[in-house]
Amino acid sequence: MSLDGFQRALADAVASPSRCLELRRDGSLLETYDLDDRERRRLLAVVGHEGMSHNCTLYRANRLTPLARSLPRTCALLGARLMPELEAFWARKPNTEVQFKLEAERFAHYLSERCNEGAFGVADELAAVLRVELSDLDRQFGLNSHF
Amino acid sequence: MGAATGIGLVFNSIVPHFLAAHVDTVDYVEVIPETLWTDRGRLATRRYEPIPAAFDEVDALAERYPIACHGIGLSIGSASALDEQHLAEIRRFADRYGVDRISEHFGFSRVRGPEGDDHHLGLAFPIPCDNDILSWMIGRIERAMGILGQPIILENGVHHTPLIEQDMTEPEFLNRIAEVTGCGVLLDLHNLHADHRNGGHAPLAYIEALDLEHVREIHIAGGSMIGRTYTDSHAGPCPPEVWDLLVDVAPRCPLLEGITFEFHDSYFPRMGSEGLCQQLQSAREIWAGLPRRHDVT
Ligand SMILES: [Fe+2]
Repeated sequence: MSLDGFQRALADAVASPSRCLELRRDGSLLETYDLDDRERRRLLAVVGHEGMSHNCTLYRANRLTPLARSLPRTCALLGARLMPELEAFWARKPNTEVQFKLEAERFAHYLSERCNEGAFGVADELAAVLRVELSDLDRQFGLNSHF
Repeated sequence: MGAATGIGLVFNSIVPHFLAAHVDTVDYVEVIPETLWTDRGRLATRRYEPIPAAFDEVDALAERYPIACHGIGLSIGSASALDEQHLAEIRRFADRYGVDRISEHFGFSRVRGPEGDDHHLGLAFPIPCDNDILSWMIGRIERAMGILGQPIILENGVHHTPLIEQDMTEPEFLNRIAEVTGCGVLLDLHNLHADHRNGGHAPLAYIEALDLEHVREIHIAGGSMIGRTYTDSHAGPCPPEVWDLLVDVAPRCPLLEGITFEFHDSYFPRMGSEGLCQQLQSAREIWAGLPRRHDVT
C-alpha cells in the first residue's frame, strides 16, 4: 500500500485544473509519486472522470469561503482585482488554511505587502477596511493577536 | 442530560435563534466541534484556541438539549499519522457536554505536509476499499476509539470521482470495520442521493449492502446544482427522494438513535423558520412511526 503517494498525487491534482489536464495527456507525470500500478490506474481514472472538474471547483470555493465570510468588505473593495490577487496569494501560499481567522490574517498580511508595493490606488482605504474587519474578527473569535 | 435521540439539527449560526422561538422542534443539537475553536495545526505549541462566544452558545443550548458531536477535522483516512491531539480535543469536548455519540467522516481531507504538518484539501475524498487498507484502518479506528473512550460513528461521503478496482464496495468495507471495531455508521441519505443524481450507484443498492444494525444515526439534507453537478450543499429542504429513502430505511435500522437535519446557514433565507419547522416535523412523523424501541424516553 502506498496510500500516502496516492493521496498526495490526488491533492496536487485537485488544487490545479491545469495539472489535471496535463495528467490526462501524460500519465507518466505520476512517476514522481510512490504508487503501485493499481493506484496509478485509479488516479488516472479519477483525473479523467467528469466529476474531477467539480472537485477542483469545490477546492477553490472552499479556499474562497473563509475570506469571503471573514473579510466581506475587503473583498468588495477589491472588486475586479479580487480574483487576480487571490490567484497570486494562493500561488504564494499553496497550503490551504481552513481556519477562517488564520486564513483571513494570512490574506490581510499579503494585502498589506501589496499595499506597500504600491499595488493599489485605494491603499489607504483598503488598509482602513482591513483594520476594521480584523478587529471585528478579533472580537468574534475572542483573540487579539494577528500578524 | 439525556441521550441524543429523536430528531436533531446540526448547529450553525441560525440554530440558537431558531430554537429560542421553536423550542420543541428538536430533541438534540449536533455540534461540529471544530467550529468552536481555531486550530493552529499539529506543529503549534498552543494548538487550540477556543472561541468563547461559540462555546457560550453551545453551553446555553446544552442546558436544554443533549449534544451530539459531529467532527469534520480528524481525517481518519489520511495516510499521515493519526492526529491524537485532535482526538484528545474532541474527547474534552465530549466530556464537557456529556456527549454519547461522536461521528466523523469516512474518508480523508488532509495529506502529510513536508514537515509533519498537514495540507488541507478543504473537501473530503473517499479512501480505497482494499484489503490492506482495511486492516490499517481498523487499527486507526481502534486507537481513535481508545482516545475518545467510546465508539466512533463513521459517515458515508459523496463520490464525485469514484475509485476503480477496489477489493470491496464501501458498504462491505464499513460492515467489516464495524464488525471488528464496534464502531457505528452514520448513514447520510442525501450523500447517497447526490451520488445517484451524478450518475453513481443507486442508493438502495448501497443500503441493501450495508448491515443496517450498525447504523446509529441518519443525516438528511437538501442540495443544489453547481454547474452540471448536484452538490451536497445543505441548501434547504430535503428532496422527495430523500424522504422516500428515510421512510424505507429508518424502520430497518434497529439501533437508530437519531435523524439529524443538516442545513447551511447561508441558505436559511430560502427556507425560513416555517420551512425548517416543516422539515423537522416531517422527520418527526417518520420517527414516530418507527417501532417502539426508537421512542425517546
Ligand atoms: Fe452528513
